[in-house]
Amino acid sequence: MSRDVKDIIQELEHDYTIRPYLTALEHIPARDAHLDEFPDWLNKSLVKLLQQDGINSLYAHQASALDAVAVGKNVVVVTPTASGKTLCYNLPVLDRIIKEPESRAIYLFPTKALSQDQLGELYRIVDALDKPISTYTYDGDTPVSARSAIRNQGNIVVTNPDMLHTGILPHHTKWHRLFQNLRYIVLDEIHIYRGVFGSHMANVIRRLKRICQFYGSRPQFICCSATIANPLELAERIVEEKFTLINNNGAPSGEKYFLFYNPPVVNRQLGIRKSLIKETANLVSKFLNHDIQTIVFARSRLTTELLTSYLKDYLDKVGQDRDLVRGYRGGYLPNLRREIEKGLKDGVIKGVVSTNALELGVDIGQLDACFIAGYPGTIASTWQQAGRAGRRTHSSVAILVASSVPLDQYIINSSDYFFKETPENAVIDPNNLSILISHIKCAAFELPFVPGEKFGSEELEDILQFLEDKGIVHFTGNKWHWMSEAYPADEVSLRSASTENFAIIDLEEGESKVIGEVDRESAPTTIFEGAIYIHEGEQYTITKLDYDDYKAYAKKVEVNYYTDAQVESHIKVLDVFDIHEQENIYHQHGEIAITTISTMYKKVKFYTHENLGYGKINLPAEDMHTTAYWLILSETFSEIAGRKMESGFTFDLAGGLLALANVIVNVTPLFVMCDPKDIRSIAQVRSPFTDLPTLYIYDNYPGGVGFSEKIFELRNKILIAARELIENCGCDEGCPSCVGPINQVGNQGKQSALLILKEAIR
Amino acid sequence: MDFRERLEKIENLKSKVHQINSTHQKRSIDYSKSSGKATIAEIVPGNVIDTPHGSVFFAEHTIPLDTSYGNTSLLDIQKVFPAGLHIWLPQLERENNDLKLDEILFFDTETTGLAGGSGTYIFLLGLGYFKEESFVVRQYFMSDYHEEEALLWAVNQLFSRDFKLLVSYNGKAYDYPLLQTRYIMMRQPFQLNVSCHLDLLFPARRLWKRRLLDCSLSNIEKRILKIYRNEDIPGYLIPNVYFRYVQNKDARSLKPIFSHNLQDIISLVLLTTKISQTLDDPLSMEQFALDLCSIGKIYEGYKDFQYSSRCYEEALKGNLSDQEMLDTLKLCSFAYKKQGEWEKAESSWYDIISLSSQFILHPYEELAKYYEHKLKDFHQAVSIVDEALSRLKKENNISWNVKTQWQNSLSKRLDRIKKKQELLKAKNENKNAE
Repeated sequence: MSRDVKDIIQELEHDYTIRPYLTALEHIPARDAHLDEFPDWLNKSLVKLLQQDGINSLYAHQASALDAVAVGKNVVVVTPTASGKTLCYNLPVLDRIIKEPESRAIYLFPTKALSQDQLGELYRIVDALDKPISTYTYDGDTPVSARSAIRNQGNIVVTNPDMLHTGILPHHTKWHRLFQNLRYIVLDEIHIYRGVFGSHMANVIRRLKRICQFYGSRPQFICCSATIANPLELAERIVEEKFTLINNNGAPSGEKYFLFYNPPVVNRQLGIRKSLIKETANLVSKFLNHDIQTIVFARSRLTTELLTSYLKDYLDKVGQDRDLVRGYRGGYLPNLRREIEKGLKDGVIKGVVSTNALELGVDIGQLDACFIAGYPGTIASTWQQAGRAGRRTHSSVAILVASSVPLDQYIINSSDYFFKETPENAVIDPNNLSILISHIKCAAFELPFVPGEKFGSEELEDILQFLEDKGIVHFTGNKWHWMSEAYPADEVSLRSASTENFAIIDLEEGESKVIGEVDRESAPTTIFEGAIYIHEGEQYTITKLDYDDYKAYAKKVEVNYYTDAQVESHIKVLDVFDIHEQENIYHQHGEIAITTISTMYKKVKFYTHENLGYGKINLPAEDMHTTAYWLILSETFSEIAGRKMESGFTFDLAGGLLALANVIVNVTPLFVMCDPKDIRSIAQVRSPFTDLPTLYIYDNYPGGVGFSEKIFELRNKILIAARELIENCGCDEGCPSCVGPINQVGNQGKQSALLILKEAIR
Repeated sequence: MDFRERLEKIENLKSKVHQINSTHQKRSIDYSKSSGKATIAEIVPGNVIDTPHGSVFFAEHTIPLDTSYGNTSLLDIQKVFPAGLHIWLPQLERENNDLKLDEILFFDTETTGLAGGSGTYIFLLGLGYFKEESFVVRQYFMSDYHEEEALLWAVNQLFSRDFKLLVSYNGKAYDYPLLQTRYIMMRQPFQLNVSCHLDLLFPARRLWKRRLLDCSLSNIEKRILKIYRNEDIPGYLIPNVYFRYVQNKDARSLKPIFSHNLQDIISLVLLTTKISQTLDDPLSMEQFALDLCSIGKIYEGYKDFQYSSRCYEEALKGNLSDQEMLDTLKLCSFAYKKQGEWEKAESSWYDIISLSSQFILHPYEELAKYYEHKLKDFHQAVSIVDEALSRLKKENNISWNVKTQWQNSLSKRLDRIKKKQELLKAKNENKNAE
């Protein structure tokens, strides 16, 4: 029989092996529902339908959203997970279609899986309504034969930004009925549209609005967002119109506990803590023991699989069914995912380990406990994941377990920052020149530009003039016309990740079966020949990788290790855009070609994580052209630094550069709109290009998106922040929470990095 | 770095990436070797029309009907059209319309790209129609993008004449929707009001794909119409030649595009004739054996099984590979079956069995069904299924999976026939006993 989570929290609090490592225990009291009546104007058949479902009134936020939409305002609804936000857009849209059957709406979801899910809900309502309302999904999977019906009849077209960008806007004449009658545009999960993706999205919306204007429609926007600091600002930046913020959450919730757990330090000098995975598995097993349904979020696919197999092993050990715990991540095939989602809703599955794939609105019901293994990167995401646990009637718990990376250590030790401060800002830069110019091309393809038109930047005409000089557009008859054979939308990807995936094929007993997928970017480090690929807790070894056909062949094995690939990079500078010189230090910004190659892999033993051996990886090198910022130390820097070091220390150039590189990559996201993985660093003691010690920070995005330019511009602020992070860290000689582990940066790395900073900061 | 420089950097970087990514780069021919310029009117004969949206140029060619091309002339269309084309012209058939030659409009476009979408423009629109004793081709040309409005307006004047049938090659998927797009973009009504659109790509494919594989208009021209163009401009170069013209206004480079478009339109007429002829009475002409198979298939579509089996019979006399022979025999046997020509069908099935080196299921199944249901000769039905099973057993070139599936289905059939046989036996014995 399952127990109340309160009991188990008490148990944890009294457990001397756990108590000292709980850095926060926050109690969030239960909330009562705030209800409001259905507005008078709402169609009676809709009201009746809701009442049949047992819904006799609206939550306060739903009522406010409906009122604002009714008077023609754009709204952005910000409420927690599972507060009934879909009604905030389904009701006004359906009401309008019932009253004016010609009217149309576009629903945009950031991922395909989400749009499938939401459509299921919408279909149910529409079926029950028994009115001639047609709703369709339009995405890459829509059969060609169905497309023309959707264009001509679909009242509600459910799609994603990528399809809008490449499939709908450039062919707007085929969609003229939709655009002429377009009343609403729904953007769900807008907090996902931040950084590069968000900056692209804002431009896609600019294009969408231009097309609407051409057909004489002026649609209203209804947006939904998870809790972020600036939902109103984000919606207004993406859509470039006034919005009304709806945040008077009226949905009830049970009481909730939020715990922070920082695994104990095993070696203070090296800054090594107990393994995140093992500590999480240990805590989760306590919940499984008490029969409490639990979801665990892990940051990577590998961690997801490791945690799944550790937990399955635990179930084995205590004599329970291994299948009570399942893994869930992007590479799983849709059928398997549906099965797991259903198992969770039915309660057949007691525990699930997931990547952030389950963070968004996929319907799995509400669970009792949620573990977050590693800080997800933003406060908004953390709350969103924590929201997966939360029953209306009894208490639930969320537990954040920290890893030893700097950001995690900062958060886990600053619970006030997490609980008292507002979540972070979602930043976008729609006028990033590189992104803007791509979309100006797409827009010119869709409709000729006329002088005086606005499209983001004030410099539109300069850009058009520039494109004209390049022979891409042509000015005549007071219009800029597209003058190229190219289809510009095909050349712009809204997301940095490539769309092609490798299929993993199990060759067991002569029958080949696809067991999963890996995206192209991770292929060289996860499915090289000899790699151990873990799928649903089962180990497979990759026997053959067919790089041209995007296939990897796997065979089931049972070994006591996993594999970890080593990556080598080479940099070539192609062009220098800008230089800033100061004494003994040079800052530069420019264009580079970077070659990355996976050369070998380590076999790492489970549980003990000791090294069992090496293997070679034979894969072609990957080339990328991008932009970078680099910091160069003068020829004499080491000599001068040697003299300036505090007594007892010697200046270590290699260690210092590496340490500094690690810190800069970690603090940059605070200043530039990016995730830490959007930028990469390479430190070279003697760079072939500069012939001097050089530290490169580059955009991890082909062609560059402007991060490194921003870093060059804001270098002083970033360097100051780097110094603060190092100085405020309690370790002696460096640790993974600041400059990186000592076995990587050496025991002089921390002090050496500080010295470089001292010289570099102006 | 100033704004302009930054734009340069970004675009250069992108194009470098693009160059690395693109596997092939398009070649383009430089037409501007000699100095001097020519205007469009100096290059092709034509006129300028004034419209409320400005003026636009069109070239006009009046071609006497007895002009011959390859193995046909324009005049021939009178003799045959629209015989044989009914299957592709259901509306005309339904309306029982006596189509006059001057009610047909032939059309083909030259565009600024093949991608489609609202950024692809039609810069040359060729329209051909019969007028009195000649064939007229008008080629409306926008010498710059702002003339599109005038061009579409002028074309609308021609469209609003009483045309009933539109003829194109691949126009259903490409030219026609693009034309609709251009009218929407220019906010003009689209005044072409034909009841029927004949896209010759479809009949051409049905007729010749089996033999030619490549059914592009240029290949059909060469192989079927025996027209050999000299110095034709390859289609993929056309957009770039036009872009260069827009910038330097030297019309000399355009001449091959006008000729190309003109020939395309003439070919539409000749091809219409050729297809009508071929389908109307194919057995009266000499035909390739493979084409006869294709024609037989088309007649099946008309439900004329007698004629289609005659086509197959003729094809079988011709030059066919073993596989083609087997395919044709199969088609032929079904045509016989549909007509109730059972003996002929039966002998075709035996022909297939003896001709094929590999096991084929369908003739056995057909024979078994014929004996079981039609002749009620269960004994013969059993023996043919037995034979099939024993041949299948020896067959090594069929995957295990398929083999098992076939074996199961044959065994089931055998069981059923045997049961029926016994039932009949029992019945007969009862009768005898009585």
